[in-house]
Amino acid sequence: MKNWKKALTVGVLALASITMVACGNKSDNGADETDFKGKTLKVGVWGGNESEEKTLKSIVADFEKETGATIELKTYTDYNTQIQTDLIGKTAPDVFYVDSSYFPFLASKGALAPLDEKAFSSDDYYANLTKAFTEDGKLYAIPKDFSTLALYKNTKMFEEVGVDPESVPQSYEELVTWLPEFQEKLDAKYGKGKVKAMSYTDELSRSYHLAARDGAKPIKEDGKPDLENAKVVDNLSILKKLIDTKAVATPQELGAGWNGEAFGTGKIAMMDEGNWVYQTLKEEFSDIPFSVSPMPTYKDKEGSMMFTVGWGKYAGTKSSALADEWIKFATGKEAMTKWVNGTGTLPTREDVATTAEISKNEDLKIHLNAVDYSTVWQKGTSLATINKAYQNYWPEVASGKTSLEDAMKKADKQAIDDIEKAE
Amino acid sequence: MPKRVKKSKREINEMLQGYAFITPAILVLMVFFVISIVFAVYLSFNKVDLFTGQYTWNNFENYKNIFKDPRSIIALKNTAIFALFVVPTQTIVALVMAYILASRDIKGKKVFRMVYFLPTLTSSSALTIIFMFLFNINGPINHFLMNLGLYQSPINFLQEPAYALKVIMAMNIWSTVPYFMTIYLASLVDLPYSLYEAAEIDGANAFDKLRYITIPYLRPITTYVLLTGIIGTFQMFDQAYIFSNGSGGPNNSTLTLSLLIYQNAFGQMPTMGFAAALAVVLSIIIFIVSRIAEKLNGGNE
Repeated sequence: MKNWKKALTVGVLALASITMVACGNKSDNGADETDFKGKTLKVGVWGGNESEEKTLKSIVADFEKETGATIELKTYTDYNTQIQTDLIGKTAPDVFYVDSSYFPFLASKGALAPLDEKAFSSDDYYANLTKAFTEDGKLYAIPKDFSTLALYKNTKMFEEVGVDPESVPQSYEELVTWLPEFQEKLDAKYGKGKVKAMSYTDELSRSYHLAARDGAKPIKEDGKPDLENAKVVDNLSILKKLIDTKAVATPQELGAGWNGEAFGTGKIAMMDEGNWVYQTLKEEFSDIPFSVSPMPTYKDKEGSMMFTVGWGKYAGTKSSALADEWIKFATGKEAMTKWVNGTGTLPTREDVATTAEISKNEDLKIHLNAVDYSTVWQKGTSLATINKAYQNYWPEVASGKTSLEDAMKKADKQAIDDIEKAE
Repeated sequence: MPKRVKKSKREINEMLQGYAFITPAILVLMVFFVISIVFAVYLSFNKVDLFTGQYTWNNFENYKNIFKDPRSIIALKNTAIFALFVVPTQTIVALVMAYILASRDIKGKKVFRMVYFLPTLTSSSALTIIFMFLFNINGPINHFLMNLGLYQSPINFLQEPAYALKVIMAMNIWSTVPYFMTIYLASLVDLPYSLYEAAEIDGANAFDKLRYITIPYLRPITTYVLLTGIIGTFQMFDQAYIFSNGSGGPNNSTLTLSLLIYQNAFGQMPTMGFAAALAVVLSIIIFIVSRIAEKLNGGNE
């Protein structure tokens, strides 16, 4: 009786102490390894849609077969928060997704290891994409794919109200005068308030290219916001004019979570959305026929937003060589072809752009061509703070309660308060 | 006076075994509660950059900032209004519903109880999405109220600062009432029915019975309901986060203290110290308000 109690006591104590023992630190970061058999690489990604997950698994399987290493996938649900805690706790994966807008923050914290431009043949990638992952002349991540915005039209709806989708004006200025008439036709056909002509997303990540038109600077070089700048306000006023036509609304106002859902459920006739919506529309809302055209011009210039994600290597990785190997493999010609074909994202290598199925897809080509004139969603570490302030005050502008100028002044003040508090 | 008896070997052994058994729990508590709380308090006095591990004492700057920052005052106000309205409402509604469902004359009580309990089983994030659908400008609520002829053009409940927080209040009450109702019901089962019968003989009506028997009987439970209600409402985060996409908008109307803490702790600005200071202030507020509610309810009697 006594003996087993003692044994149990010792057992419990031992268990408790084991949990307290920390693993010893190795100084070797595994940079000289060449044989990866039996090695494990932790890879951090965020959960995408089904096709993304499937394609990633398939690429992982290819890699494991080729190198004999094992890939341990860690999928984040709230990436920006979770990767921070992982980095602080020094438990970050060896390789992880780096979003272009988040890159300045990660770089400023020294979370990423620099990558050798020659070894990764960085010239194979679109220059403005690698530029998005470069700081102080050093490359920190290899772009794996990117997305741009384009205008989607529900062709069935256009047909039903007797309007040619091609007749939609190709500039924002003309849209303002064209939309009311189109909205009337939609109201007559589907009932008042049932279908809106167009939806927009009230985030700076979508309107930044408009705000920055004509050389305006919504965010100053020192990271402080300047949304109240007369030029920026004038640039953004086009959005207000669009809303005032009563033909444009946010998907939330229509009871949908995002543009893709509003479009797929027939609540809007047009939307500006990234190519990530393409696969969703094809698979989940296959009964909606649509066409894709470039974003409308504004102030006589083409413009769109561009979002890119790269593979970055954790600065504290213990398997540096294997990490390099994975990045090279995943952004290589073969794997990228598989990736873009499987997910509908855009390739970051020009050689893949010409060989992948995308070259035969007129819709996705429009997204791809936007690479030349799009603005990368990236601007220092204060971007998220400023975007938050913008989102906070935009609804007041939309409803007409506050003038655009006053709202932007308030947004600037909030963002500056937040930035100064951190200094 | 009891004489101090030297512990026998067996007693010492048992004592040691007792300590051994609670060691894992104590360790977990130490790491996840005690040390974390002490660390949070420590953070609140420093300018913190967790990435580089830099902590610089900044002379209560974080606490001063709380009163300088207009947004923290707004957040405090929003949270207070939210709690002030939601806690009494949900407590009263839950109590009345429990009283009715506990009465012997209601048919199909089990079905009612189950149906009423469903909102509690649904995750609050899913509920938020449902409510955002119900209250959107072309949504069913607007249609219903307009058909009743209450107003002509639809109200933008989600993006009007005047309504946004109220929608969240409605949702919160709707989803927490059943939970508290169930707690009340569980206690009402033990209430001797003879008390009601005696009251009826004395000529008490249903309201009298509620006022003089049920409510006094449930007082300890009410204290519990009030406390959990206060803690829950002061920590309201998920609904506001989903509702405003994390921004606290429109025009700061859904900015709660917890949301502000989150924004400062996990943004790209090194304001973890400010977030920690806010968290400390929030816990002090919760503590004080809970004590007041407890006193008012006479829970210590």
